Amino acid sequence: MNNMTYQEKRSVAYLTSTLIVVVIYCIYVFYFNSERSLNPETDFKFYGITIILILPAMIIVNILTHIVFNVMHTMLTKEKGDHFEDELDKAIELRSNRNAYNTFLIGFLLSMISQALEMPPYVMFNLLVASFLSGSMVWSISHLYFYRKGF
Amino acid sequence: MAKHRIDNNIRKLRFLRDEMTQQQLAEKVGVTRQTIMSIEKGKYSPTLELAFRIAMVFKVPLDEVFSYSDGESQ
Repeated sequence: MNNMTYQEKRSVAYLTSTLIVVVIYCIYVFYFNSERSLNPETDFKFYGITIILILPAMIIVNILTHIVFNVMHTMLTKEKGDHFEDELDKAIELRSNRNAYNTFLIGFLLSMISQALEMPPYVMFNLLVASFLSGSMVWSISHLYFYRKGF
Repeated sequence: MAKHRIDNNIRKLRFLRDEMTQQQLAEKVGVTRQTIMSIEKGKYSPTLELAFRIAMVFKVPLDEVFSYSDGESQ
């Protein structure tokens, strides 16, 4: 970690925070609610509530990650916290966003295919959540890749 | 399309300017140290504006800082 720059460490921090959300989601859906009936009507309600909860949870985890990471980075490296975005950051941001949107799009299409093949609704909802979280992870990994390898 | 490469002499020019650090150069041209590092290693080709700003810091013409070569000429 010592030879990593601020931007690379930040990408790792965001990737970790997304992984935490993935673990929380998996525990909530597949462990605490594994006994729920597979009735499509209750499935819609359950996943509706879960998705409504996961979006603010993701925002809160990201804000906390941002604060904790910046405090820890300033304390450990004694660097000034005046990090700003320049042209390289913007170029990397655009490419990472493109990769994240493409990942989400693939997941969205797969979830629609699952419905076309008459699979149960929980397959579609899990694919949608998985594509959203995968998109977020791809965003962080793309950042890390472009900062380390360049383009 | 031929493979091209943009080389630079930033490391050498920094050395000739009393071992100017990457951070000092970054502050002078208004970017982060990460960006100067990436340009020096050839990982990132800067915009024309940034290229000119770097050349102005070293007070040399642009082609003394950056040079372009394509795959066919090598």
